[in-house]
Amino acid sequence: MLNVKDLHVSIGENKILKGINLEVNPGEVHAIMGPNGSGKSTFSQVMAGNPAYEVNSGEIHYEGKDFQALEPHMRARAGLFMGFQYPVEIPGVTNIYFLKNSLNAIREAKGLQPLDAYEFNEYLGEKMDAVGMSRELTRRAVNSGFSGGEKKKNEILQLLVLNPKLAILDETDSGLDIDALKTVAGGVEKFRNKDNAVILVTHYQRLLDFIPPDFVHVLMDGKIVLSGDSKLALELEARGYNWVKEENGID
Amino acid sequence: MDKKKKENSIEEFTNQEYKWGFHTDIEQEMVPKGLNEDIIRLISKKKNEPQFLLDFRLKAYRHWLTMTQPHWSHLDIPRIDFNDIIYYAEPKKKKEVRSLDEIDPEILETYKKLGIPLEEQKALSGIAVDAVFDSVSVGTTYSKMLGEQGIIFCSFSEAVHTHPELIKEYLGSVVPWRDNYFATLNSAVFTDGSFCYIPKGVKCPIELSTYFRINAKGTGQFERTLIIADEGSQVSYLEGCTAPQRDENQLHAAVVELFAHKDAKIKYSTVQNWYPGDKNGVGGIFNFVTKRGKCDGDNSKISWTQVETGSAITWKYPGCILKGDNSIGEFYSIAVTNNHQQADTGTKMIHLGKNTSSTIISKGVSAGKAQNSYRGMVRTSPNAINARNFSQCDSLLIGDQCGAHTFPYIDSKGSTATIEHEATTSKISDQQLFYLQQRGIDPEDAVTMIVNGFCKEVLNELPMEFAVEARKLLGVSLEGTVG
Amino acid sequence: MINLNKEITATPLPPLFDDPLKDFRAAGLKRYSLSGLPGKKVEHWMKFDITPLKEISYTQAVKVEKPLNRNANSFDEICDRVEMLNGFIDTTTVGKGYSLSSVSTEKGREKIAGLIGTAGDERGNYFYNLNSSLFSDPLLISVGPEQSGKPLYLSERISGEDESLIANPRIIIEVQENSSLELIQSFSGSSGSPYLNNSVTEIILGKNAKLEHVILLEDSHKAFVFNNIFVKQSEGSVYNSQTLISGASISRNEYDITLGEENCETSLSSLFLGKENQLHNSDITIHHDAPHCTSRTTTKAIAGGNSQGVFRGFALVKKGAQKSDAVQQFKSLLLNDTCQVNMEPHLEIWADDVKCSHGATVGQLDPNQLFYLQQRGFSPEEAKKVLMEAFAADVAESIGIDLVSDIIKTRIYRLMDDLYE
Repeated sequence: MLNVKDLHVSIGENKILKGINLEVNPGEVHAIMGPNGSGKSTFSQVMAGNPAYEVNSGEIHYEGKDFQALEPHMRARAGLFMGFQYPVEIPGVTNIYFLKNSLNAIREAKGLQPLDAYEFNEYLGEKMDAVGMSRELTRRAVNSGFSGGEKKKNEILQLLVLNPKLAILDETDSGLDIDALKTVAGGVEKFRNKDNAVILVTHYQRLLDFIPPDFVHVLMDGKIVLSGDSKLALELEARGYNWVKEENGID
Repeated sequence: MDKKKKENSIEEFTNQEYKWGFHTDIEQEMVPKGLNEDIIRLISKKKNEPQFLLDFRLKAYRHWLTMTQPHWSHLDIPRIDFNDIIYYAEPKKKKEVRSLDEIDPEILETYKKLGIPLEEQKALSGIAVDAVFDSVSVGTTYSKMLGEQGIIFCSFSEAVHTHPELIKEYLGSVVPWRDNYFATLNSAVFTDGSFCYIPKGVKCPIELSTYFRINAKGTGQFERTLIIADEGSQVSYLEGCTAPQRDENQLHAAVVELFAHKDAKIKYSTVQNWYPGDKNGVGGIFNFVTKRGKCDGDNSKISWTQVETGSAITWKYPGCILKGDNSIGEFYSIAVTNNHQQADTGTKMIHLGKNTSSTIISKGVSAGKAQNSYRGMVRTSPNAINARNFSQCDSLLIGDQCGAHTFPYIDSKGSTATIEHEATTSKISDQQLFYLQQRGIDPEDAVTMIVNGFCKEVLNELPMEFAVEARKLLGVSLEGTVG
Repeated sequence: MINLNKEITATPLPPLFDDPLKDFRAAGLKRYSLSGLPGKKVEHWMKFDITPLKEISYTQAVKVEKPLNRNANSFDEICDRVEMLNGFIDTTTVGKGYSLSSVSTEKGREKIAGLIGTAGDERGNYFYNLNSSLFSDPLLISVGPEQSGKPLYLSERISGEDESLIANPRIIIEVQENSSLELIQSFSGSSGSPYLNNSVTEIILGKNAKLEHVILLEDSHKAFVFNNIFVKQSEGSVYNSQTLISGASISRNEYDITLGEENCETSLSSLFLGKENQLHNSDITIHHDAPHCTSRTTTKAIAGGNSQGVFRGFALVKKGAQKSDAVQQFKSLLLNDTCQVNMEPHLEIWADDVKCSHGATVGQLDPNQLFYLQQRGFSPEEAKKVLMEAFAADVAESIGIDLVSDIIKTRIYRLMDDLYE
């Protein structure tokens, strides 16, 4: 589904990613872990096509197509969803209006009829119940005045509503208390099936207790230095990142 | 997406076309070009006006001759040759029009194209329309139905004949004939407009509206609108405007007067979409408008809402004189400028009575090489005990070639007034655009969505029928500015 | 005699010297002959009526040969000091770290000729032009990296009993690269006849230079005081000023700040305590000419009596000055129904990636708060004072010169005693 080859990325003068290789297939859950500043968020942003990042070399293929040629909204319509570490506030635009437009744009790209207001409300209601969100939040402006937890729940709600093929969740667990973490994990579990894939970008192991990954990758200094199964995550939790650094000769 | 694409997309956006720019081919009757007392007498005669009105015009004209065109900072008004304008143009009448269905089919077609069917059976439900074509009103819908409730809604010229006593009493009572350069010019040469009187205690059951269309070449439009809300009455009034696409600048200098008696409420909404000129700044309407409301009676309320997307130059400051105790003035404004447009708009809230309050919400959006200025005044007199004002002026900039300026003037005399003013300037952030795009929304829709969100507090004030149109207009006026 | 409604002639410097400022003065005179003083219809001057000061015939202030001993004041011990009397350099008591120049030496003349007009010429108008035509004994204060350790107290005094004097003090302050200065500038004068002090201070800040500037305008109640300050900032420089206006019958503070290079910061706060028939005008223009500069303006007024405050703030963000961050705050407290304020917080923005905002409020002492305090045992006067102090607190607290901040705070609170009737 997703195939990344020798990806090099920079922001301005700074080289952030220095040769990433990754393959993700339907039904898989990958975790990308690593210390702060290792390039985890950059990886997510580049997959989603944020123009602030410059891809210097390498390939990104999604379902066999060259992903780099596509603008962010076309990637979204092709089935990529990114859960933002810092969901953006858009004053004055209601959540419901935003989501309906978003869903219908994606449906249209799939050749489906847009949902009308009534159908959409029904559909949205189900998903909101699934993540235990108050209906009142749909009338509020997108992420405006939301608490940190509400913003993250809102990202998961969007994940369920838009039902993409590939979800990259960038530090969706950060700043959540245990109840909110369970809700978020529950949402992701609901989303998972054999046809879609999830990439969890995270700093900590605790999210992985709820969503056991098939693969764990350690990202350091812009490279994936170690890959393994879910046991690797536990080891990282127990031993920290320093031993990986030492073994790979990174200061 | 890279920088280049973003710039291309800005270009596409700024290149987008004005969709109301067609011209109606119709035989018209015009007075000769130029401005002098004979022309004024001719206009007055054509309209078969009573002497008092001709006197009013001549008084204004003579005073106007002593005035000079205003010069405002940050607003570049080219010198206007007032003798190169035709002051009166009307569609040639084939015969006496007795009902709306007898209007020249070309004109009916024009309004149909603009989305305003005038034929009685097809008329917009819930809205009574007075259609002003160049210098004259060509028809008013629902006037009979309204008449049954004692509401007078007709063209200004008609009111001069049917209700001269009201015209005599109220004309110039809010905007005096010597008020300012353009208002004085209007007082001398105004041709038509709408007149509306809501009797005591009547709540007008439908929206009243005027649709202004400039069609003829070389003409100016000088409309005059007068709305009187008698004790305890209520009315909501809408105004829309478009003009054909031309290389020349055409002048529109209107005066609107609102008069609210005790306990009366007037809501006046404008969607102004005059031809803005092309992307190089050639052509477009010069829109110099004096709008003012007087809350004369206690507990009265006047609310202005405007969406200004058109015109090469917009110069208007709808204001409220809050004379009655507990009276309320409101001003909600969206001004969008693109390409070479200039908008200089704001309000004047003059607090005279006790416990008067005013609210000002202004949203300016500039793109391209456009200029957008808020200029507003809040004044409280010592008698305005416990007067309250709240103002908020926000500017949104799209691209780095445009300008956004905020010029509030606060004059407070006496110790019991409370005035608060806030202003912010921002741009559409890359993060917002990326977020929306990541959710599958294309960049243009994303811009429209963000601009609509930015303008929301004002859009919410518009009557339903207009809000939809206004939302679309915001998208259209800004199409292509960001990628 | 000088009548400001008529043409004026320039006063030459003492003829002993070959005057290198002759051309500068001639240019000033030419500008003044074109601009004159603003009339009532000039934008931004409509609400600030300067007619009374035009109606007086002034005598050009001259150097006082044997000045009377001035009274000692609370700044004496902690500050170095320079006294300008009637626009002429009088006494100086400064330690290391400053170099003072005047036209009395050839070297001084050269230095002054090289710097005069640097900050003001492009920006100044009416009263600047008047000063440039008539200034008498310009003073240059230059600060290098060698620090004095003491703040500098610069006192401008006007002294004349029977005649109405006009003085045009001219001061140039140069803070060189990586240097800093703490400056207290005060305006005062004797109370016999009305006088006009039309002072121009040009401030030139080098790269990473810093100036902490406290201004005390405490002239006699008959005086007309025009304090014109022009600041030109280089990269990374910081200008902070706090102004207290309590004196003069008609006064004006003009601040014109040019943030000419990247990463400049400027922060101005002022407090006008108006009583009787005082008329004060504060006019602040901040030119954001370069990217990444920050400006903060806090303008506060407590107006009592028949006083009037006219406040204008203008932030101008030039094209290309991205990431400009400009905030203007205007707050006025009106104590009765005969005083008034006019506020114009204006923004002109030509760059899109900026953070600019302004706020303005007018209000009065909150009756609920007054009542609450009285219920807790405060007398009405005490309650009012507490609330006024709270209103002025952020200006009082912002005094950036630690050594004098307590003195000034005390002064502010003492002045408030005179405000309410």
